[in-house]
Amino acid sequence: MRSKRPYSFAVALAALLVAGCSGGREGGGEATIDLRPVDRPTLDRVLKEHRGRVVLVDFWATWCAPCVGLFPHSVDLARRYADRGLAVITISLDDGSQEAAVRRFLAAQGATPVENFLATSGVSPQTFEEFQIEGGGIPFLKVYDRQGRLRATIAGAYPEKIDRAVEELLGEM
Amino acid sequence: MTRTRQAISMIAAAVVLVAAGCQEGAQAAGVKIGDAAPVWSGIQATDGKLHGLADLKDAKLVVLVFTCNHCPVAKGYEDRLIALQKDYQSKGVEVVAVNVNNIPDDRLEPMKKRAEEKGFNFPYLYDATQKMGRDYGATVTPHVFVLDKDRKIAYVGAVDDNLNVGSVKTHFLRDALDALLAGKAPPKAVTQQFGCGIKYEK
Repeated sequence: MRSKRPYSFAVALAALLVAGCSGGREGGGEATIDLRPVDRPTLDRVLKEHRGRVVLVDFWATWCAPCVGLFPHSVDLARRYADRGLAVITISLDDGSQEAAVRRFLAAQGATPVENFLATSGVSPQTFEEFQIEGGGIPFLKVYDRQGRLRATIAGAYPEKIDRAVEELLGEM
Repeated sequence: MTRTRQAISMIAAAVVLVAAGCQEGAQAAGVKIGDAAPVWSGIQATDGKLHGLADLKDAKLVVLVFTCNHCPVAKGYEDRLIALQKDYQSKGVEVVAVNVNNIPDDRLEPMKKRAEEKGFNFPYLYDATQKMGRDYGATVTPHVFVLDKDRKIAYVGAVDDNLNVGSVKTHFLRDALDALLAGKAPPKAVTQQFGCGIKYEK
């Protein structure tokens, strides 16, 4: 973990730089970002569609600083492991009024290799309950195996734990 | 969110990400409804005094809120806590806010600044040992615990059902206080807390 911190720090700073540059051409980037509303039944349906793949679900929000710092890692995983059968889903737990800010962030992150969703219930107990985010805090990540079974949950920004869970499940056939 | 705020979040992210490494393996067991409230004493606060549960012996109910400076969700509830103290203090309810995070934004000096800026009408404690958080099993900010007149845990969870004031339908905490003040059980004694994870150190 210790050795990876400078890397994470660099990623966060890089993200900052990218975000700083995106302002002038907001419209273009946002248009390419697909952001769909999601509740629990929708997520369950999406997970079903991905049967046969390992699925990583990243619950995040623009108001959650560690989530923002971790986000590039999820995008990176999607790129790195697409051909081994990994699908990455991101679910923003922001209030609906923040949709434009969420889109701007996703565009600045180049979040195109991942599927992006916005929780329909906003920043509320209902949201955390319906997605079973134990402890009520994010970052919270769930990893499903190729049969669609939930196999790991990671609370907090621990990229190496996420990598370990994903790699282990990718190794299963 | 403005670009400036986004930039600030990202700088904060870099800082918090480093701090997040300490969070692991520190999940406290915590209290359940009906448990005796863990006692605190000698806790420093933004008012320069030391605070303890014993100071509140005249209060019918105590609302202990784990909160902090850096978390946008916690900040989103500050005005609601100020209003709560204003509305309920005369009924014998005392709000106590406590921060147990140790990241730079959540230390005593920035806390003093925040308490002054917002005009907190309740004490804002700083437990750098994090013992209070572990004793209660606080996982996020904000995380609310109501202590009844016998100083047993009577309510645990969220302030209400939406960070967005305009979308709030159920005021869990106020409903619990109203019930308890009337000698009844809260309509919902446990609700799902939500917010920013507390950064526990090992």
